Amino acid sequence: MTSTIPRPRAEVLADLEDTRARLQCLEKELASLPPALDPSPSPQPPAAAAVPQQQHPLSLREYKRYGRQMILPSLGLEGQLKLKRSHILVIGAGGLGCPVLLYLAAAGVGEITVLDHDSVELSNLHRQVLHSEERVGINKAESAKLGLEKLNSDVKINAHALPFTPSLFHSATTPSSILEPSFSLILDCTDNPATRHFLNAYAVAYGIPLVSGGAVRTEGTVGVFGLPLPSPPSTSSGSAPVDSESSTPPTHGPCYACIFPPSAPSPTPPSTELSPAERLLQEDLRAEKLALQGTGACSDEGVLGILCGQVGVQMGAEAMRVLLGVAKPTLHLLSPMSPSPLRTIKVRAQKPSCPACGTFPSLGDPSTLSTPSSRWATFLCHPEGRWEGWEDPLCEIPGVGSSSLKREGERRVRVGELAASLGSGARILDVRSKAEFGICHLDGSINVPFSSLLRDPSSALDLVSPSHSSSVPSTDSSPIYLVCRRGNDSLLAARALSRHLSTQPQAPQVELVDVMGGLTAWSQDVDATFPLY
Amino acid sequence: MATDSTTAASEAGPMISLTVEFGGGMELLFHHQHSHNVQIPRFYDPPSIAPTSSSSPAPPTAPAPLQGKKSDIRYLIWWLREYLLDDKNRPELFSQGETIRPGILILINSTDWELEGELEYELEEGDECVFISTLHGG
Ligand SMILES: [Zn+2]
Repeated sequence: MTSTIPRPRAEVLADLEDTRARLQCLEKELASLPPALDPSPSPQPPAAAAVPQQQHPLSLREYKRYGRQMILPSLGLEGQLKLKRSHILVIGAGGLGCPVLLYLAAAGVGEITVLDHDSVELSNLHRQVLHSEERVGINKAESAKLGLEKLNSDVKINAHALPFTPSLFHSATTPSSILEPSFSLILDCTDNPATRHFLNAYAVAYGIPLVSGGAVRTEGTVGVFGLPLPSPPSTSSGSAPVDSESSTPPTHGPCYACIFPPSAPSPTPPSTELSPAERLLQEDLRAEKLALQGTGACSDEGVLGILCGQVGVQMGAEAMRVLLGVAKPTLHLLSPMSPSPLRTIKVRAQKPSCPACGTFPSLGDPSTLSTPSSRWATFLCHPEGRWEGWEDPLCEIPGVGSSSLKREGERRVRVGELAASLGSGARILDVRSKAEFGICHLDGSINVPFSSLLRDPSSALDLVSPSHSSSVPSTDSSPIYLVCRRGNDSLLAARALSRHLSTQPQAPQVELVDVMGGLTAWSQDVDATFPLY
Repeated sequence: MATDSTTAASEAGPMISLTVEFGGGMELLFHHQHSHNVQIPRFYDPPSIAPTSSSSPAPPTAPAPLQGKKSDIRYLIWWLREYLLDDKNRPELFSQGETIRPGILILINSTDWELEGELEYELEEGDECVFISTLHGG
């Protein structure tokens, strides 16, 4: 609180002189007193050099960083060290990989290897919370590494921009940590059945526990698979007879394939005895079935962002339990939007006949046993690296596939042609789901979801008949254009409607036109303001 | 809670109630609804659900005999397909022969159905059966 007006120099000098004199008085007074009993004012710290330097297993920063969880009796320093000594493999840095990586890196897992071949997209960010707007376009594994290093630089992150496929094991550039794995745990954060089963076989072959998660729409699952089980106390003298194999308790919990068996190989192609028309019908029915079953992909079926967080964090919790040595085989069902958001399932034991983890007489030579590691060794030796049941998820065309070839009498047009005929009373039947139609749709189009259309084609046709759309100057003879999101379901819908019409000769015949590429093409080629989602 | 002796009479009723839940997309085949409270016959006649010929349609309502075989998961799968499935022309989306189609896990009172005897499990009043399709997304 100095005055705004400066004091005269002489006054300040006098003040200083007084203060010095007062200091001298105080020091004299102190010197006359007896020595203090309390050593604290002593300028020398007491015998610092005499205490031997203690060794601490964590850095001072790590004690501070992990203190809040190390205080917990279920973790302690012991548990924290178990995490630090762990090396985990995370396949997928997407919706599940992001929360898994965030929480396990934050918790202090010592080393994390992460694989993902994909790049960050804007449509990922509602759930893939480790990535960010400025990293759109870069590889997800690399983006994850950047994000994790900002969060916890005490954790070692190895990022590989690679897909986890059979060809990975026949490539000279594959990291040796993958080829000769010594991971404490594998986390399946992938998004398709082929990769899940292949990763499970890998985990089983090397005896590494697997925590697997899945999330679509508003539901998810989390399971702990291939977990080594404590061997029961042996009562016999240890020389168990060899033929009692069926009665020996399993050494591992169920694997992913024990609980979710791989689906049987696709049905045999239609026999050549069928007429061409019958063969096309079989092909259509098969494609319709696949389309109704759904691809299971988040891009097609949708996924709640919060759900990925919940499933990923539950996977992280199971991972902690595995690394701390307290996990049990388990399966959780999560559905955050339902009244019972978490349900834990009592799971079956390991299945001796399981194609992934079972041990049984070899098919080729019944005198030898086929084991998970023998099957894996056979795969590694295979010159082309073929893995049974493998379908490349990157090449798979959902829904229509090969049946998208144009057929005789079929009318399929590009979006430009639909744009040109809009003024002339074209009727548009949009076969997407009600929710997708609600997001955005073409003016004047009518929504009949694909599954309803297949169930009841005549009602679908009634809905687009002129009396129902009086505002559009159309007649019974104007064509019906079928649209969907990408052009798969609309083609199947057009074929189903024309099949229906062929059984109704007295019904007014209409021209059915499939719009190729669907509304995605519409947005790209005709109207850039039409939202893509 | 009634005691065993007093419930004996009421238990002899021809129907039992169950909670059936669908998940993982299965709900899309059943009125887009996850949870259903259903009443199914307590007993059934096994030949009546045998997949002899696909052309023989199920009766408009399921017969509820006062005795016979106790309704089990095999019967429940048939009943759901005949009386609850939206699209009767596409039973293959739900079942395969007398059992469930591959890729669907059945849970009986939160237990993997394999531990309960699979198709042979005899249903009890108030049982909760979950049909969940494998979730692959991530
Ligand atoms: Zn298995």
